[in-house]
Amino acid sequence: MADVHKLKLRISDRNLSVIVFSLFFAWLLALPFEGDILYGLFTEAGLSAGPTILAAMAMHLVGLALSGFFIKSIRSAKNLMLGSILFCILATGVFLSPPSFLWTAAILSSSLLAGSCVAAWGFFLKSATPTNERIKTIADALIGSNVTMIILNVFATNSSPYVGLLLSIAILMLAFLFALRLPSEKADSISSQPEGTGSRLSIVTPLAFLCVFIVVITINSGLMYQVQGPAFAHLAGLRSWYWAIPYIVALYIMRNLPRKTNRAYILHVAIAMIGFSFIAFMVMDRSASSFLVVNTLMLGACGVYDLFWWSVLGEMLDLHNNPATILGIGLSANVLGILLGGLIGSTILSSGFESPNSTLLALSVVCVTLVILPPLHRRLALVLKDHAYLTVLSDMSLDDQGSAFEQLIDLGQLTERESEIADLLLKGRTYRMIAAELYITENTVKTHIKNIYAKFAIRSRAELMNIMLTQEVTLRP
Amino acid sequence: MRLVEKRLYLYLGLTTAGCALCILISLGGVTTIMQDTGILLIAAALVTTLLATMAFQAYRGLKAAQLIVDNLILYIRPAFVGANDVKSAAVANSVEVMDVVVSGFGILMAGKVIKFNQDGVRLKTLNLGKDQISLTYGADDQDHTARVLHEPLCILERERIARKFRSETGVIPKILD
Repeated sequence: MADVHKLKLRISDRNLSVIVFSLFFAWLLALPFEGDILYGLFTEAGLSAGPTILAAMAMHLVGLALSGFFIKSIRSAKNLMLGSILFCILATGVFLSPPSFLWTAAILSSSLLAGSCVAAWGFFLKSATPTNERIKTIADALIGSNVTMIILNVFATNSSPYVGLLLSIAILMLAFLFALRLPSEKADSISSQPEGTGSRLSIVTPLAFLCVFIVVITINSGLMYQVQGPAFAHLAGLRSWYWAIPYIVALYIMRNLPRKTNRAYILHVAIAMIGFSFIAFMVMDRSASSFLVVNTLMLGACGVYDLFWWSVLGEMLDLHNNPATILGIGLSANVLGILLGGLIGSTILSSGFESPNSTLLALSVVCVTLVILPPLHRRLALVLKDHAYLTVLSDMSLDDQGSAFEQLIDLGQLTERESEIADLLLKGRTYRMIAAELYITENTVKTHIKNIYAKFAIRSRAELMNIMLTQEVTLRP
Repeated sequence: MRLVEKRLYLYLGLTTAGCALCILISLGGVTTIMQDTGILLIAAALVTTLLATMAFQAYRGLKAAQLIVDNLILYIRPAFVGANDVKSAAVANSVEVMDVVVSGFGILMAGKVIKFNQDGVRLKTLNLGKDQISLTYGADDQDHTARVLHEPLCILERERIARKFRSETGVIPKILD
């Protein structure tokens, strides 16, 4: 008997942080942040949810952006998370009472605290997960939160919003219990940067570029919420469970892709998916099959992109003293983009010319994203040399390239000619360009490249680049 | 090189003829010659397939030969001594097709291609004598040696050849006296 009482569920800090985030973020997605539960409650009360939701998002943005000013340590992060979760439980309970000003006060205040709570999670992401594993932790957290959100939405839509509300309170209580077990002290000093302005300045430009990119790409998410969502409101049952499925599937796939996969190419495919989603929305009807097509394209692309910028933020945590600042700023850019997209979407809706205008706007956003992506890539590559999504070789300094390349030659025992060709290949030259530069035929270039790949037992330029970055190779016997 | 090309063209020509024959048979063009067109068609198809395979191999041989010629390091022309008459001229022309080309990717001689530094076959050692070049090549278990005689080369020329081989293949040649 005593042994049973003493039995404790051992969960690693990493898994604990994933569970807490999943539960809390699920509540956020299902209630204050354009949640189905909130929409259901307002609809049952005969009220319009639009203005309240926009205001809640604005408060959430403020909470995210300001979190870095008052969360300075892992202890304060934990205390804030515990306090926020408790407050959110109380605020959620307010919705069990009849509609009044308390509803608005509850949603706005809980959104503000929720923003700080999410940003505070950055401390636990940084302390519990090594840098190159954070993409998986973030993917797990987003998958967990979306799966939980689906469960809440299904109950809210198919049973009653109040059932969803009670379940969300239960979810928050569970989050509170797990959050109690979060560490209060930093286990190891993971940050490789010294304190001081030098380390902060080094990420200002890449972070600014990333934030601009996040704002631009998530305008389409805002458009999706305000334009696509209401157009398929009559399919509430299907939406409640299918809406996030493509998102979860995309996250899962991207999480488990082999390291050597060219993820930068997948980003471009995802941009195209967003464009096609809005084109399909414009030309197709509003049936269930059309919803499946439009939603799959849109949310699948969102999954790819969300994991991209979330994971970049996750790795940037090492470059700053305060993880809450980095995560807060990055996520506030996300909310700003959704807010802008939502405002633009509701303006388009009120004008009465919804479909073509929203599609044209979405396609414009896609074009702007394509323009921003290369300079963003270059800026990020300067600070994150080993990120899964970034191919960084051409942006490394010549000295760095040289030393990494010399190690590559030693590893693979390349001949002089092979090393010349590998150098040009890794710089992005085509076979024809290499042949012209070295005054040899294209066929000769291809043969040398075949030999190079054979020595490293690889099959593509991307794998060769990966070897050069990681200096891990298995030579053929 | 020309021998390799001629071989390819020959096989391509035969393959084309075989295809044409198969088409004729299937259209019933030779029913007057043989009753059982089925067997004839199968036989023609088999022969055509065989010829196509040989044409493909000849094509690969031509590509390998082209690679060797494009990356020439040493070109050896057999010496010919003859009188100034028609017969001698004809013999001189036939000697031309027996040129030997040595490169970092193999040796081409008289239409025969010896490949190394590609497709898993490595050049292992290289000895440069005054009037001969000896190459040992092969996959992991097997070794083959090719020795090519040439006109005497000065030390500077042998050093040039050694540098080229070292750069292309990574093998450090041994220069023999």
